[in-house]
Amino acid sequence: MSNTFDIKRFGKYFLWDLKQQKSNYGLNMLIVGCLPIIMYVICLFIGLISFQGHVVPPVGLRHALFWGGLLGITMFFSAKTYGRITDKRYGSSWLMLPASRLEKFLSMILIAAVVVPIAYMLLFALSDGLLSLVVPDYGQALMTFNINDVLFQGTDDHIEFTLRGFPLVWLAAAQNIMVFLLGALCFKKGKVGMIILISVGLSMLSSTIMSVVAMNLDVETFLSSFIGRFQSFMEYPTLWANLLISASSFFWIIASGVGIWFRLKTIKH
Amino acid sequence: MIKINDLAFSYGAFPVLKNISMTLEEGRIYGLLGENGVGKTTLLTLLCGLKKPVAGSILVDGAVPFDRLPSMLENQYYLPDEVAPASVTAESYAKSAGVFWPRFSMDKFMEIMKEFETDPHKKMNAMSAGQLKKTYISFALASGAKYLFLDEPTNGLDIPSKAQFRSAITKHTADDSVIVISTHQVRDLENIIDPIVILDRADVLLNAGVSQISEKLFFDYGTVLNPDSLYSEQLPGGFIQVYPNASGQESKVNIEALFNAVHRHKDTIKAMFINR
Repeated sequence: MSNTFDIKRFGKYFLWDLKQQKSNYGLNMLIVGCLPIIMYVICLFIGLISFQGHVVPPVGLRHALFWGGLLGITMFFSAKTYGRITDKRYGSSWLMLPASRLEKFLSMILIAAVVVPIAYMLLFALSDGLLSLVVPDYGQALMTFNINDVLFQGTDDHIEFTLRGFPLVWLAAAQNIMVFLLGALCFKKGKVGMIILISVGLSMLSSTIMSVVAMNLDVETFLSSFIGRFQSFMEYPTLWANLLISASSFFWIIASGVGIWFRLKTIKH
Repeated sequence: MIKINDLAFSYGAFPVLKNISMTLEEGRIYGLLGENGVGKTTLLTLLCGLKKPVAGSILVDGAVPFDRLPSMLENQYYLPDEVAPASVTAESYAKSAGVFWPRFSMDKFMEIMKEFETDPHKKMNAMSAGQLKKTYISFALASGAKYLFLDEPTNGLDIPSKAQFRSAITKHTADDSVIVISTHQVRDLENIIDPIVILDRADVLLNAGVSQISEKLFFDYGTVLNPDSLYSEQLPGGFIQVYPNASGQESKVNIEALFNAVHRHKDTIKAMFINR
């Protein structure tokens, strides 16, 4: 058996890892994924108490629930699951488990960046879709899978995950979860808080740098040369915006991945 | 075989181990003794690859432990002093984690759990500290690992469990196993550990088998104090004394007395065992 990667051992490890994370986070995931049902029940109670009859959650609230849930999952999943690796007791037994570093790394990335966001979106889509099907005045399901549309669109009454739109949402979630995973592995305490603080710090630093650059720049000349050079950017703004967002997400995913790999390589207990 | 050569380790600027050299051979149960803070746990974690030496080297069958290669990990099991409770039953834990150790035997696990009188169907996070320790000891012994590194394994065990542990470790380990037990509870393990390794911060004070120790040192349980005593302690009805074995008589090694004698006369005892 190879000491770097063995597909049979990886399969065994991935299943074991999946089971561990299901037991660590399964219930939380179920609760957050079923937020549409929980919110619907709350609205029913509010309707009953306030004598307003049958109240259903407004579309705006359902949108907020989806994005809030996704943000919550991507922020807290890693700290609650893989974050335990920094704990001496859990971390020692995890490091001593006979699987290679690459197998442990790949399994961790697959679960955190692929399985978790997709499981959340599926659960949310299912519970919201179920309500839409069963409750007549609930409205159209928040998410549809319209493969003929070409772009991701957030409209007033529903979100369409199209072939090109879905990867954008998944990329954003994967980027977030990877950054928080790196934080969970690097910090012993305040795993989520530290990443938020660092993000705020980086944002402040970058906006300061941008302000200084902008102050020392002849904006008019720069813009005219920029527009001239990137005419296509002005013609297809959505395409460029999507490309830029994707490139930025890929950058953060790869950068966090490299950080996670080196952290796993050097972690000691 | 484990070869340790000029090993050094420090926590930041604070040195814990220095110039440690020794060889751990197959088919032995090593008792790793030392005062608090001399680095017994640190040495165990270095041996299993949880830490990286600052200087020197460790080779386990020619492999560097800190590389944590699967071929090395499936040959060893490290049992820390404090173990983490899983939120599943002991049986389910053993079934799912055991697949990673090629020689793991579920039957053996269940048998040892039975010997320890511990319920394998109980959730591990509902177990007492002693029950949890016994579950992990059962897993370690059932793993079939050649190298077992056990840190204070009898801590938290009740009196019958300590006897069961002694019996299990001799019964359920292979003839070529290398078992390293770090402990302060020398009386719990007095009859099974051989050789005895006494560690100091900057040295290995003693690494010798029990027969070699009794050949060199005499453990006297008499009533008259010997002027050559390296260590003596008053007991009800007499003394326990340790002095050089000039007559070549055999005596039963008292590890506590040996430990104290070694610590009071580090150089004398080191010289006695090096000259051999």
